[in-house]
Amino acid sequence: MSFVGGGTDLPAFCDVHGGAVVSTAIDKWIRVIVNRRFEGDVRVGYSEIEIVQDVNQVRHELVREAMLRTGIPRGIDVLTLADVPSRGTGLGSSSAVTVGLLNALYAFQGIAKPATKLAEEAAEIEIGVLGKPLGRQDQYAAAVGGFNLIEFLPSGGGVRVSPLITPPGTTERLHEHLLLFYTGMARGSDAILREQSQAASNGGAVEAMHRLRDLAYEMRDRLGEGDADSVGDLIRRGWELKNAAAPNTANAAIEELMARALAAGAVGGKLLGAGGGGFLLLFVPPASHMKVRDALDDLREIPFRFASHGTEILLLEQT
Amino acid sequence: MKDHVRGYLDRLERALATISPDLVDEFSGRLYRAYQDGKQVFVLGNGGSASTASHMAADLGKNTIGANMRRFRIMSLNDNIPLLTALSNDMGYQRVFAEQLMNLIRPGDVLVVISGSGNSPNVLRAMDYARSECAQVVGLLGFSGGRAAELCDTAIIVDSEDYGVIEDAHLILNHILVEYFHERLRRERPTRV
Repeated sequence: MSFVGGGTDLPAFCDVHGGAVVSTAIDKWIRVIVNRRFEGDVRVGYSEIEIVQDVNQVRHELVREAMLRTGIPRGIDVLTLADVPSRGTGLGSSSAVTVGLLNALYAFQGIAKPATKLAEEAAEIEIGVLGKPLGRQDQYAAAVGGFNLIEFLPSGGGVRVSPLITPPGTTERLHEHLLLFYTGMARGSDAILREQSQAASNGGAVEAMHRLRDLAYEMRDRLGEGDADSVGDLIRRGWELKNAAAPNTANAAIEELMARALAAGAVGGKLLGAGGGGFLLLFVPPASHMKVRDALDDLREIPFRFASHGTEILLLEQT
Repeated sequence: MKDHVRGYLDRLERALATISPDLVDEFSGRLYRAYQDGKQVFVLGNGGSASTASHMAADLGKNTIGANMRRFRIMSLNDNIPLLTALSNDMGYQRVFAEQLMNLIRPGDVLVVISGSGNSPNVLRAMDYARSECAQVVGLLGFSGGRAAELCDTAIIVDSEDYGVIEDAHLILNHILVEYFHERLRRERPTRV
C-alpha cells in the first residue's frame, strides 16, 4: 500500500532524477505452494489449471519466468492462493506473486535469498523480461515488508529501503484514520503507466513528479515526529500532483467517488497503484468514519492491517 | 596426407559453422545462474567425451578463481576410478552415472552430458534421474542428438557424423565457455556468499 511518491519509481523518471515512495505491506497475502510432482511434468494452479510437459509451455508468465529464473524445468506442482484479486487492484499483487514464487522456488532448492535480492530478481522478471511498464516499489514492498521509505537511486544506483522509525503509537494512529474500499473497477494498469512514463519527459509533469517525490521525504519526517494527522493532507497533495502529471490516473467515476468521500469528511484519498480503478484509500478522522462509509455505501470496504514482515517461508518440508 | 588434413579441417569447419550462438548463450546462462545461486554442476561422458567432461570441470573450476570471489561448484562424474569400477562391476555400466547422482544431485542443479551419439545407456539413465529430481539437463551432442536431445533443457548439437569432429567441436565449446566465464566473472567479481 503506497501513500505518496508512486510513479516516481518508474524508470523513465527515477533513472534520471531519482524517486522515492513511502509504503507499507498489508495483511493481504499471496500464498504459494510448491510440491514435488510424481508425474514429472508441471502443474500450475491458479484461476486455471495447466498441466504441461515442461516450463517452456507454461502460459502463466510469472510462474514460467520464475521457474526459468530459479532453474526448475519440470517435476513440480505450483499453486497460488490470493486474498485479493491478483490483477488490477493497485495493491501490487502481481509483484507479490512474483516475489512469493521466487522465494518458494528457491526454498524448494534449499537456497535462501535475502529479501532485497528477491525483489531485484522479481523486478528483472516483470520489467526486464516481460516488459511491463512498472516501477519497482511493489516488489520491494512485498519482499521486505513493514513501513518503509523506498528510494530509487538515479543511473542504475539501485534501491534503498529504509524502515520508518516512528514514536510509539504513530502508525497505530495512522491506521485508525485509514479506510480502504474496492471500487470494483478492475483496470489494466499498463496503458496508464505508459502515459505516466511518457509524462516523465515533459516539463510540467516532471516538475509535479519532483514534488511528488519530495512528499515521500516529508511523510517520513512527519511520521518520524509522531505526526500521523498530517498524512491525510500529504495523500491529498500527492493525489493532485499525480493527476497533474498524468491525467489518466483518475476518471469521471473516480472523481465522483472522491468528491463524495471528501464531502463526507475524508481529508485525503487516492487510488492505490497506477490509478484508473482498483482500491481506494481514504484518510478519514475517526469521527467521520460512519459518514464516509454511508457516502460510499455502494462500494465494498476491505478491512486491513499493516504487516510488519514481507515474504516468508511458512513451511519447508525437508525431503 | 595434405589432402587428408585439408579434408578433416574442412569438415571441422563445416561442423563448427552449425553451432548456434543463441543456444550457446542459453547454455552458458544456465551455468551462470547455477554459479550465482551456488548450485552444483555435474559433467559426464564416455570415452573422448569423458576426457572432455573432466577437462570442463577442471577448466571451469580453476580458470574462474579470483581473490575473494565466489567459486564454481562443478565436478565431473568420470574421475573417481574406484567408484566407477565398483559401480560398473557390481551394478552394471549403465548405472555408473545415475548412481553417483543419487548421492549428490538436488533440485535446480545442472547436469551437463557430453555425448557424440546421444544414445549411451548410462548417459540416458543419468539424464532420466536428473530430470526426475527437478534438475536442469543440458547437453553437448552430435549426429542428430539421439535420444539425449529430447531429454535436454538446452542441447547444443554439432551437426556431424564423425566422432573426431564432434569431440573436437565439444572441446572448442568448452574453451569458448571457459574464456567467457573467465572474462565475465573477473569483470563482475561476485563475492563469496
